[in-house]
Amino acid sequence: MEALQIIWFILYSILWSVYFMLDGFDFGVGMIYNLFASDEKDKSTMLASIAPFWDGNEVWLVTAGGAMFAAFPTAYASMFSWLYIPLFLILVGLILRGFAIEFRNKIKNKKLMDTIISISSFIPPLLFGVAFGNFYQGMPFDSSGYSGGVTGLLNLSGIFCGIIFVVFFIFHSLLWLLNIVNGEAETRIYNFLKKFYYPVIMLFAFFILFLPFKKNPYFMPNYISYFLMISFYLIDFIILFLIKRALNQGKRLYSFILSLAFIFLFMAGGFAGLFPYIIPSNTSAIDGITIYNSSSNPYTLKIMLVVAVIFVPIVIAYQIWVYKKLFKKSADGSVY
Amino acid sequence: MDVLMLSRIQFAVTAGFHFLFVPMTLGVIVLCALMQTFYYKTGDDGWYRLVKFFQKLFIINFVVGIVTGISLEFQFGMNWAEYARYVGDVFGVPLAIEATLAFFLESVFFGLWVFGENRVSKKVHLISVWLVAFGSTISALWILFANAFMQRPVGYVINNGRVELNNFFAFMANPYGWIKFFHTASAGYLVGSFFVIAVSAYQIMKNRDMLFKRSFKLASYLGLLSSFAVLLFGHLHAIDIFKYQPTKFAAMESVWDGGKEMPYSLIVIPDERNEKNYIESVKIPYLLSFMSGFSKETEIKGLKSFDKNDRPPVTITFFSFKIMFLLGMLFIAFLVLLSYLSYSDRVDKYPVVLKTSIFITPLTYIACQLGWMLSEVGRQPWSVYGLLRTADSYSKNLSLSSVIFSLSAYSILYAAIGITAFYLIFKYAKQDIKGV
Repeated sequence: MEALQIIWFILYSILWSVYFMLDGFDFGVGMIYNLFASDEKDKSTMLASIAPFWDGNEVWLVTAGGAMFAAFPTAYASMFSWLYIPLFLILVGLILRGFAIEFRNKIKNKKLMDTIISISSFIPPLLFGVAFGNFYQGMPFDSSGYSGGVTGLLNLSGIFCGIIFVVFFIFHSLLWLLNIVNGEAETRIYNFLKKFYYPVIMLFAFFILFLPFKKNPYFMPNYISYFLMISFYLIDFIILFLIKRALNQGKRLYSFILSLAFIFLFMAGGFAGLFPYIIPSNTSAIDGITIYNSSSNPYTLKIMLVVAVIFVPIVIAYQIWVYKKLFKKSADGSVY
Repeated sequence: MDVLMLSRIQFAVTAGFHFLFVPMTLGVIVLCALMQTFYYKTGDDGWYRLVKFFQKLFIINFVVGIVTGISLEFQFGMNWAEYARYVGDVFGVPLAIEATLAFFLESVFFGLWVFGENRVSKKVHLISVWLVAFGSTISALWILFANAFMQRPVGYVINNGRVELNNFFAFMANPYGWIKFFHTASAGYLVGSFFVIAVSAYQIMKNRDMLFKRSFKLASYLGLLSSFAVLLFGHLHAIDIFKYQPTKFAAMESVWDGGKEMPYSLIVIPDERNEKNYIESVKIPYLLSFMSGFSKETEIKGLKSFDKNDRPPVTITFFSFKIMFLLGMLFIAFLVLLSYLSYSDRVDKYPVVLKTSIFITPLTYIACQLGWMLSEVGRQPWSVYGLLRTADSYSKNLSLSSVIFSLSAYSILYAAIGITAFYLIFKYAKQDIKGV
């Protein structure tokens, strides 16, 4: 039983991490394409670069949500109902974004669509960050439920993580766009990246030094979990330097692939640090939601594991294959 | 209005809106896949142009379907936390499988189909459209199995006050799920067919391009087949409802006093307050008993034999069923006519028929909405039939203001998206194919 719960926690962490690794760069493109495009052609090229992918990326969110529902139903119910307003705003963002990206070319008022895309690409990562910031430090709840309200989420850790998510995803998307655009916009992005790199490193260093994680004093500290978290973050730090080096050497596709790993490990480190909690409580440790007190029965976990082991690798294989087929540095916006 | 009622309205609004776009995609993608197959086999450029034309209309519907779908999955946790805690062990399983098996397939290959035409061979491009079609249809399978568990729970045990899955194969063998899947998927094919019929009819009437006679014919045939399937599985579905959801059955037929040898009344108007029917006439002897159990001895339970607290709202359940049924009959009759005219290649000679087909198309959308109203209103007062009441299912921690906020925001957002989407659908449906 315990092994199954741990395996499902790993799968849960992977699903969420892959989700942010993939949707992260299309969020980023949505946030910044207006700032870096010189003209309509640039905008259209940048949006075209995410148009074939955003919904496939978003399915990872649906899968993470579904898997959480099936594997940790109590955690799913608590997390989603406690975070009602932020999650609702995230959904509004996702709905508007998909709609606007897809219909921008069919609607005359492009300015309006550009505004919608930027705002709706900004809100979900910001609020996801706020949510994870709260998970990292624990939320105020006990057996009678969550007592923090909406404003209770806007604490230092929440806001800081919100900013970190936004900044990291912008960074991630700049590396993607370097592989996409040509000409003036390309130079602009490259020059900006060279400077933007430093705040990214500083934020990350700050995050590692000050945030993680007040492990609950009522529980024995979990050394493996600490060890994994710290290793993931340290490797991630090294990856940041490798990205810099790859950029200097002009290996742009490689730098983007490294950036995928960067986002993935950043998320995975957070999950490792949380283990065995899904949401720790910072007011009543014993009521914290762990993988042990929130999981489905072993039978459900087994059935789901069989499905995941067979089909997730297949999904990854064909998604990579389609990425390879559709990924191309385009000279114009004609793909769109 | 309390949190419970507002959450119910919110689910109804968001699910109903989602289902304005989904059924069309189920059918149109199959028609696109067929047309693209004909293009692949014959090399006839006409088929290719038709695919391109309907692809644009498909994209609009597909995208709205996707973005409005996510909020449904999340709502189970957000607004229905008690429900999610109670059934997550079982109900989460088909949702997770749906995402893994179906959503990835349709989304990823949708990208390849729409954007990858020049990046892959014709054969791979053809396979990708079929994978989108396959993915869409199996996503319907999984979500309907999730729904079937709410209607007729199987494959579970109750442990510590919540349901736990104990037999996945029993869960998947739920006849309720299979029959509902065939009924709903073929309804989707029917809507998609009518959509293509209406657009083609408009184009033929404008005398633009007789190419549309092809899509008209193909869609008429698929529509006809689907309409028969809808009827057949609809009937089987009603028998399942009779067996497993007696309260829903009594409400949809508005039977107050049950018994054996029940006649079927053609004209009925329920009077819910007085627990009788205002009008109940033109009775066909034994028919209701016979249809439900193939024997006039079949006993039907009347609504009065159930506690008032266990009955669904009768008027809504009854009229959704009856109107849906009548519309279904109308579709069959009309599709027989269309298929005949298409077969003898005379459809362009009958502008009245073409025009009528445009006006019938919205009715197929209404029929789908009515079907879900019957299914979900008729399930009340249960969220899981016989196990968990809707009144015990919602998130207890939500404040009234949060739900008022989300419901109002959803309404405004969906109104804006709906208007834009249908504006675009009409615009592209009327476009001259030469400009495509």
